[in-house]
Amino acid sequence: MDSLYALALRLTRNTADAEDLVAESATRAWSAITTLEHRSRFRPWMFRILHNSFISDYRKKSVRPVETSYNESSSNDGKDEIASLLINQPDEFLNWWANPEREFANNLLGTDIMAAIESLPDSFRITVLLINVEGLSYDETAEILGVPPGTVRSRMRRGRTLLQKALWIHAKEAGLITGNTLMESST
Amino acid sequence: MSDNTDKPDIVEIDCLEAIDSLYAYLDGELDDEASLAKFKQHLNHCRSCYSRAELEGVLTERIKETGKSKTPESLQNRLRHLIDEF
Repeated sequence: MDSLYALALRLTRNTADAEDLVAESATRAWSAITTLEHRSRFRPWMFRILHNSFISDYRKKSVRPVETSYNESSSNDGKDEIASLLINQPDEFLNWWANPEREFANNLLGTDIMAAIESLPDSFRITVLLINVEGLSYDETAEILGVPPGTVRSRMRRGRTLLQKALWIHAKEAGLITGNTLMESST
Repeated sequence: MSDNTDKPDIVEIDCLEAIDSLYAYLDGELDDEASLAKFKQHLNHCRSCYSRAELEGVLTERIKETGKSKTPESLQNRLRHLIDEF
């Protein structure tokens, strides 16, 4: 149940809507429980119901501005895709990206990381959460989201780049990095 | 990006391929032994990719930790009522 609530909270971005989404998903799941063929598939089945409920109910009601659309890719050529993602980034970001320091991740607060995740477009956000937080496979995530596994892998590549850029911008604004030099967090 | 100065035949994949393998590895999807061996071999010879792997690993762990949330009691009560209604 904690996993469902956590996912709902990151999708809706507020506790009241997250509770409504989980309650609605539980009602739908209970009504459709006879369609679950294998009990071992309960977890991804529940995530799929929650995702569908989010798409069909919550997102329609949302007054948030329309998100920037990104071209979907299901390319298996990860090398080319990573190259094309990086080539569009500013030099300063690329310089940091190519010279990483692990302390960068250690110095960030949990709230910084969550803010960066919540800034991701829906399709990347849910993919990163299902795989990195819930530990689901690309195949399970593809089944939940109703997309090919190659699209899931592509969304993870792109999601990581977007996430790191958001964290880099935050770290720069917070003075955690100056140019290419990492500063100790004061918090 | 790579500062590899070893013999070219030792490193069988380049940095972008290594980064793609790193992502699959962190997501638990690099289960092919040959790809895993090539990836590890690249990390042994490329300081830049090794550093990126360290950062990505820590970041993935931090995302995992911070993405979790406890179900509030109000929702637990609401779900109990829902079950009672059925």
